[in-house]
Amino acid sequence: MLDEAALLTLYESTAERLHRYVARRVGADTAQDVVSEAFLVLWDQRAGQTYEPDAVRAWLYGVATNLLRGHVRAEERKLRAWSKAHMARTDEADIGDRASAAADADVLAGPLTGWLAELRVEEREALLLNAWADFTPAEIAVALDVPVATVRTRLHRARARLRTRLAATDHDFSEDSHV
Amino acid sequence: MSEPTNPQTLDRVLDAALARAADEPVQFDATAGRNALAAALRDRAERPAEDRPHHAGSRRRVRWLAAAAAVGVLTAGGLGVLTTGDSGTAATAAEELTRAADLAARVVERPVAPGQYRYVRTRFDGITVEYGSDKAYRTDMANEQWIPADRRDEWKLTFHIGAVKWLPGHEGEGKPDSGPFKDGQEFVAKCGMYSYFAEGYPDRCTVGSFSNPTPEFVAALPKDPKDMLAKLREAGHADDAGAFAEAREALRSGQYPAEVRATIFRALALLPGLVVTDKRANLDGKEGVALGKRYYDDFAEIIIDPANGDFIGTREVVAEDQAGDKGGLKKGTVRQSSAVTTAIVGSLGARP
Repeated sequence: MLDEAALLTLYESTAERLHRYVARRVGADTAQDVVSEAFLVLWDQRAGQTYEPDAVRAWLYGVATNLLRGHVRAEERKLRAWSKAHMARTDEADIGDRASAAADADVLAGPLTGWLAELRVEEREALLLNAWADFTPAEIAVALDVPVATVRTRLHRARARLRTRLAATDHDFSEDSHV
Repeated sequence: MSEPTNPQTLDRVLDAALARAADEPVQFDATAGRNALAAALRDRAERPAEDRPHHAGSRRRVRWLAAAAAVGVLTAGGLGVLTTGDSGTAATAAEELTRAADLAARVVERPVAPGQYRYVRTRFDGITVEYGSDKAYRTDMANEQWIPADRRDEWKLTFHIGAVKWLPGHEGEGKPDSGPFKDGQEFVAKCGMYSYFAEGYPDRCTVGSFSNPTPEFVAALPKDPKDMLAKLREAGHADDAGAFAEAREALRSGQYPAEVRATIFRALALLPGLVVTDKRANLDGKEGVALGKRYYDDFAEIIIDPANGDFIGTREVVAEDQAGDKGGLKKGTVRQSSAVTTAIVGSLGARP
C-alpha cells in the first residue's frame, strides 16, 4: 500500500534517475520542482492504494512528462543553449585523433540537441523517453496512455526528421561502417 | 558531398548522438529532496486541501498551474464560444456537451454478443511538417480493428495507407515518408497483443485504462460526471489538459457504451477552458460541432454530432499562423483529424 514510508522509499530509489532525465530536458533547477511535484501528484492520487513498482515508475514519468508541458519554452531554450555551447566546444577539439563513431556522436550531439527543440512536443516526449529514459514503445504507451501504434508513429516521425537533418549536414559518415 | 548515407548508418549515428545530446553532470541532493517531500506530506496531513494554495508548501503547484493557464490565452474566459458571426443561438461547449449527453443517454445499444466482434474503423488525415523548413505533406490512412466479445479471443488490426503527398506550396524532394506501417499490413493476436507491441506491455485483457477499456474497467467507471472528471484527471496525471486527452483517447477507442459516453460528455462539460471552436466541422463526410481546448499551437478538438450525440472524431487545428520554419501553416488549417466509425459484425475481418 502506498503510505508515507513507501512513498519516501520510492523517492529514494527513483527520484535521482527521474531528475536526471527531466534535468536533461529542462535544466536542473526546474527539474527539482518537477520531480517534487510529480511525487506529490502521485501521493494525492494514489495514497492508501495498492501499487505495483513498475507501473508507478511509468506513471511518475508520465506525470513528469505532463508537468514538462508547462515548461516547453524553457525546455526549448535550454536545448538550444546546450546546442550552441556544445558546437562552440567541438569547434576547438581535434576530432581527427579520436575513433570516428565516438567523434561523430560528439560532434553531432551539438546540432542534434538544437534540432530536438524543433520537434513537435509529443514527438520529442516519445523520442526522449525512449532514448534517455530507456522506455520501450510499449512502456511509453502505458506512461502516456496512448495506443502503441501512436507511440510508434511519433517515434518514427521524430527519427525520420532527425535523420533528414543529419543527412543534410556536410558531415562525412563514411568511416562509420568500421564500427 | 559524399554518397547519400544509408538509413541504417544514419540510425546508428543518430542513436549515438542522442546518447550524448544535452548530457551533462547534474547535482541532485536526494536527502534534501526526501526531507522536502516528507515535510510536504506532513503539511498535507495537517492542512485541509482547500487551504493549501495559500500555503508556501504548495507554491510549486500554484506556479505550475499558473503556467498551464497562461498557455490557453483564448480559453481565459472558461467555457465560452469562440466562433462568431454565425446566426442563431451561440451555445457554449458545456451546453453542446450536455445536449449530446442527453441524446447519447437515450440510445439503446445492442451489446456485442458471444462470437461477435466490435468493428472500429478510424480514418486519419494529417499534415506532417518537416521542421526547420516549410515542407509539409499530407497522409491519408485508415485502420480497422476487430475486437472479440471475449477479449481473450483473437483480435485483428489492419492498416490502409492512402495518399501520402506533398502539401501544395510546401513541396519537398522525393517521396514523403509514409510512416512506420505498410499499406495492407495486418496483425492478428489474442487479447490484441499484436507483434509490434514490445515486451512488457500490460495484458490488454486484464489491465484496463481509458484507451484500453476492458469490461471491468468500464463497469467500475463513476456514473457521476464530477467523479468521472476526477477519474479522467487522475488518469491524465491530475491535469485538465491530461483529462481532455484521456477523454479523447477513450472516445476514439470506439469501445464505450452510449451511457458511458454520455457521462464522459457531462464530465467534459465541467472541464474549464473547453470552447466551441467550429459549429460545422466536417469529418469523413459527417458534420458535427467541434469542441476544443488550446494545446500549444493548436486546438485539440472532439467532434460530436448534435443530432444524436454520436462521437464523430477528433481534430487538431492550427490556432494561429505559424512561422515559416514551423511549416508556415495558416490559422484554421486542420493539422490532423481522425474519424471513428463503429459497428458490430459477425466474424473476424467482416465489415458492416
